[in-house]
Amino acid sequence: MICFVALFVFVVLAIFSAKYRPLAKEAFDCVFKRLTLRPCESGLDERIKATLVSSVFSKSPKAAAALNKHFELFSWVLTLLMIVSLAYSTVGVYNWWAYGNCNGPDQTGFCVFNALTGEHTQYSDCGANATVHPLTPPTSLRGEASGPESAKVVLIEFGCFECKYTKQAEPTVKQVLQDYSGRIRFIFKPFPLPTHNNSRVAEQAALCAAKQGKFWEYKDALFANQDALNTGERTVLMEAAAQAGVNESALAACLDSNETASEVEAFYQEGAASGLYGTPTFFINNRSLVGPKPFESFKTIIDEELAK
Amino acid sequence: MDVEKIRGDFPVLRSGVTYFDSACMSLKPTQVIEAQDEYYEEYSGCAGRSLHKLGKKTEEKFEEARQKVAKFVGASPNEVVWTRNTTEAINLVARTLDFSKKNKVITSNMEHHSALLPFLIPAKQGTLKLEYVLADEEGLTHAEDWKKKIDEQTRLVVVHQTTNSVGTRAPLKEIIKAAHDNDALVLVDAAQGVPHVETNFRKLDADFVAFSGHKMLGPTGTGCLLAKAKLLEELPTFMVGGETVEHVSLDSVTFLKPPQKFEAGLQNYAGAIGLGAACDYLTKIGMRNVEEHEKKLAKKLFEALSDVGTKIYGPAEVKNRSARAAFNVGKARPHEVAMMLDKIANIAVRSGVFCAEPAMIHLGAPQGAVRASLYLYNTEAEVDYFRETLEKIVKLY
Repeated sequence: MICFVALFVFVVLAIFSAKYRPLAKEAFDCVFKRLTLRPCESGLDERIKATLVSSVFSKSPKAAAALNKHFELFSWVLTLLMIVSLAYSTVGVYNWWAYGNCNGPDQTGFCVFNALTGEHTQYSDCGANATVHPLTPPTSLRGEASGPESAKVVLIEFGCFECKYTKQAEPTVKQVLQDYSGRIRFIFKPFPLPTHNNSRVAEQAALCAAKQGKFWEYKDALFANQDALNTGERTVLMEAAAQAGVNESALAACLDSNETASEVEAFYQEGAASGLYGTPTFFINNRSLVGPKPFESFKTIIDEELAK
Repeated sequence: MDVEKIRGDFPVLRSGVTYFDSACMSLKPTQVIEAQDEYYEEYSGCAGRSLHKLGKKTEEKFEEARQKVAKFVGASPNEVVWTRNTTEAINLVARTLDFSKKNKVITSNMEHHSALLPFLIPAKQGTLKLEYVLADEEGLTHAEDWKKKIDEQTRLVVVHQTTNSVGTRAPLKEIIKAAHDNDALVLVDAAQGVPHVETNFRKLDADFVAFSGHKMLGPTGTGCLLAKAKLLEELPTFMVGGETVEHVSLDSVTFLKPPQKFEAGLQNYAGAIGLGAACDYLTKIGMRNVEEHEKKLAKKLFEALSDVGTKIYGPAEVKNRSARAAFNVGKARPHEVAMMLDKIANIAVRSGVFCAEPAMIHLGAPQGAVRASLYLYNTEAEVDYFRETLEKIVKLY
């Protein structure tokens, strides 16, 4: 039976290291022979047994003797544990796919898949020294808004134009707005993360564009030019303006006068008061989502809020 | 014989390993390693073809090594053919000997696959007739049985000097005499004999003797075929190419005289020189001393295995065996025991059927056994340690 466990272990190890591939093949051969009611001739089971018993022997000869005598039982127990853990993993993968968290809906526990992929992570690394703590929903509805004011569900996003995770969340946000068009109100609050040096001026520029009624177009253009934003060159802001149909001279004058700086600072203070530790942070009514979550995460909460 | 001094010559032993796998591979003394290194570092040339100093020195050292090996086994240098190992030496005989007039080959069921397969395959193809002398239940073959099998139709007798599986020895004198009385030739597989007992090709009077360098403190990839000079003259070439020829035209070839006509291509100079150094080393210690030392170890080893309660394969009497033992521990599988010895106590042994499956089946161990094989660098203290460890392992079952 130990070959079944060995197959799983060596296959996983073989993904990361070529030296385990012959062992994975050997284990597969052994499992295949066992399934076809033939003896495993490679001796892999003997080697595993000898290795395990010898390792235990150095700690406790008595335990080694027990392990040696009941090795088949031990193998069965390991195999069953493996099957159970596989079942749990399968459920976890489903939850991850369905809810963006392998622990299930509305759970915030550690999810290994998030850690592996770096996507849909509970912790956006856009925040410096990010620590997880409860978030307080913002008290104001200030910000660039779309959708009916009377909507039952309000989706607020604190986003940073220089944050790759905010950009990563954009397609999902757009899908949410499209699928729930007319049923939710969306409010975007610029949140200049301190770790992104050029974020604050970009957000000032976005609010300047808003004065020309071009906020959403300019927002898209800023994300499209996100890599160039890092240079801190004003020409990048101007190129984005040109792409978004924003009057460049008016934008430049607005920036030069620093007239939107206080607004940006106010949004920043609001986010800080809510306890933001990264972007994007979403509030759906009073419930929060941090990071570029999958569509299903938004859908679950929005549907529940709409159903209330 | 100062074993502790000898042990100091073997760098591998500094790791603390208890090395009981010398029937498979012997350890190498510094003298052998240095002889090889000297070739690579000081005169790494081609023998027999380049006229510069390095080439000349290589030629000189290479032929000097042949002389050392010849002296070590009581043969003439022109009777020593370099091969890669015993297997190649046996194949050389099997592939070149003329079986057209008499095609019967007699061998035993205790032979190594390397002595068996070169004759079993042509026998299956119908080009020669292979008959077996069956060993008794202890793995010993008896002179009477060989004599019964050897007749006037016998072309060749293939027999071990010492079995690699359980260390039993064949009655070579009687076998060789019976073969020669019937005008048959004898090929002795001496892979497990030459390293452990004084062997004199001339006195033995065998027609062919094959052995490996790596089992007698020499480098890997070295071996020899000893053959009577007259036979080497008669045998056709085995492999051909560079070094085997004197003249070549587009329609004719004149081969060199033996043994060079059998040594095709660039030779393993470093290996041969290393094997020469191994012969020097063993000669200096004295093969009789080696043999005596191994006898003491064998006695202690078999006592230990018997006391611990293992199933020992082969004859009960130690005098009929070399310092090696094949055994099993209860129902434990051989590989398990071998791995435990290695992992628990850093004792290196071999497990399996030792490339002698028919022999192990005959001895009642078709799944194989564990083999402890000792050599001149092993000590009685090591056997005690082996015994203590084995006692612990036996308790696991």
